[in-house]
Amino acid sequence: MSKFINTDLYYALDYFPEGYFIIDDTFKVIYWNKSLESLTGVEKEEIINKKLEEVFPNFGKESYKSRINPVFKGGPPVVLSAKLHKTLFTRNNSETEFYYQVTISSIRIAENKYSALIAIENRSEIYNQINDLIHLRYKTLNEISEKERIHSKLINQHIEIQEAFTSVSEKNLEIEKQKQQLQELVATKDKFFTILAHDLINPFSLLLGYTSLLSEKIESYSLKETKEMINMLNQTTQQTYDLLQNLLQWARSQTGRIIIRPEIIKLKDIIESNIVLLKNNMDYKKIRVKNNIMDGTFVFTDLNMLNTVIRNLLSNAIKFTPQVGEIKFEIVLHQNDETNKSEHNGFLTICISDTGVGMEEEKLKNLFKVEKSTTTIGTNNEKGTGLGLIICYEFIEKMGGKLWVESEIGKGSRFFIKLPRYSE
Amino acid sequence: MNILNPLQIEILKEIINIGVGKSADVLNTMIQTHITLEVPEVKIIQFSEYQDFVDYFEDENYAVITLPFNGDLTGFSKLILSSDHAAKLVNAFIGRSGTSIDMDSLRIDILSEIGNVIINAVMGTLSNMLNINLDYIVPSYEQGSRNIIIPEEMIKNESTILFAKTHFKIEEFEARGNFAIFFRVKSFNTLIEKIQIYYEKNLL
Repeated sequence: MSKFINTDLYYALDYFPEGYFIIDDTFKVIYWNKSLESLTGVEKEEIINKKLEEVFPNFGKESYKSRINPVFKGGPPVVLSAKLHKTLFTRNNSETEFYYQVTISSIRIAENKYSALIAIENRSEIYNQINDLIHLRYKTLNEISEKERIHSKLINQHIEIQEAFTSVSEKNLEIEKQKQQLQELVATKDKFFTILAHDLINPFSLLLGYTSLLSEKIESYSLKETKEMINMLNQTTQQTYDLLQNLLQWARSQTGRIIIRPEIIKLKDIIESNIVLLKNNMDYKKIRVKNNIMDGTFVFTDLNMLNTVIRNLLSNAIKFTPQVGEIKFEIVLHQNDETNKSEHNGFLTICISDTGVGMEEEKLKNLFKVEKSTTTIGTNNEKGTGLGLIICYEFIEKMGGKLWVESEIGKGSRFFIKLPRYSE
Repeated sequence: MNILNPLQIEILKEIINIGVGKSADVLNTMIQTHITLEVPEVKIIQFSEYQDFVDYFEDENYAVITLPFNGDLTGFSKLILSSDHAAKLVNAFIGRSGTSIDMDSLRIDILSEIGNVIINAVMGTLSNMLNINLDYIVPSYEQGSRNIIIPEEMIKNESTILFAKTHFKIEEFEARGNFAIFFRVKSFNTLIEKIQIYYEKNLL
């Protein structure tokens, strides 16, 4: 067991920087060191021999007394942390808080008699620093979280702007597309009126002229002259009929009223029938025609549409092929990879080639565009509407096929038609 | 060397239980919450079993409050908490949420007081009930791996330890920890003698 503490030695505690005081088992202050005077503002004379709670009322609370009392029986030291007991040294009529870490130890002053040595360590400065750091930490965390919030808001706004841009771009594209469609429609309409105004008026002027002459002066013409005039009338009527038929089909296709009815068609026969139909025109220009399509070649498509296409392409070939030229129908394995593949994918490619005048690059580009197309006079001054190829292109597209052309000035043209084949 | 018989162990458990119960009362009034205690466990640990004993604790960081004592018995009382649970326990006293705040000196001071309340209650009860005179040194705080649980002095001396431990829980704050007393071997005879006297006086 430890020895008794000599009370005469208490004064030594005046030399310590920490605050120390001693109370007896009645809580009477029996020693108060120098450091405490500056720490608490309570002078030694003011507190000595007074009960602690007279100066610091909180010490009178039961919760403190019950913890401190065992010390007067030699019990273990009591620790009162600064944070939890900051009003322990608050005096009457004061709200000042003190961050003092308090340790109360038992000191044996006589047999079975103990006093309590109370050590006070000022933690104010360190707590203030900790509180400043905690405050700084929260402030920094808040700032980080605010920055993150702003950053995320900016990202969202950026995304919204991007989406708005995309939407505007899409709308612009749509507007551009609609504008193009509108231009095409206007061009179609213009073309229609041009044909009506010009191409249809001309033959009618001719028809009216000849019929007027014949009705008024038929007696003054010889039989030969009359026959020539009637032939001319017949030819003009035929041309006008062809023109009207093309015009009607084209107009129907524009309004989407043409319905495709695919059937099995023997290719050689349909070409042959068109050759027969236009034989006179070919004979007139001494053009040779070769139908090199094999007997067993069938396509699966709309007969009327295909007929129109073949007739127009053959008629064109005749128109632009000079005297003693040649026109040829054949099935080709085209160099183009896509077409070769198509051969294996249930398609075939028909080539209609001529030894005609051919076309320059610029004309080829706009050949199938209604808004850009122009009519060209044939080698024998044959007239046209510029509508035939446009009808061919649109019909082939509708039939699920493809139409394209290769041509060279002076060497002739090759028109290719890719169509669904039929295999027995 | 004398060791405690099962009856003496039961009496020791009972005394520790009463002490921890008293500490719980004090803590309950401080934070207005309920602390649950488990039945204490008392073990004799030879030096060769130290590692097994340490391994019994999870491999994490610990906060330990130690109160060394001398007199009729010598040894160390310890409050052992994982750092995570130490933070939760401190939060219970200062009314903050969150667990992973570093133990600054403010928190260490509070934890030291909590440890002091528990240790004082148990040691006070032990010394009163068994009529043992003890001298105490001011409690200390340390933190580190589970290797700080066994007092260094006992490792150095390869002492046999009488280890009494109880587990407590504060449900509301999900905080739990262990209270342990390590008695030095030279205390065993006195402890057995004092328990025997207590038994004869109070329980027979």
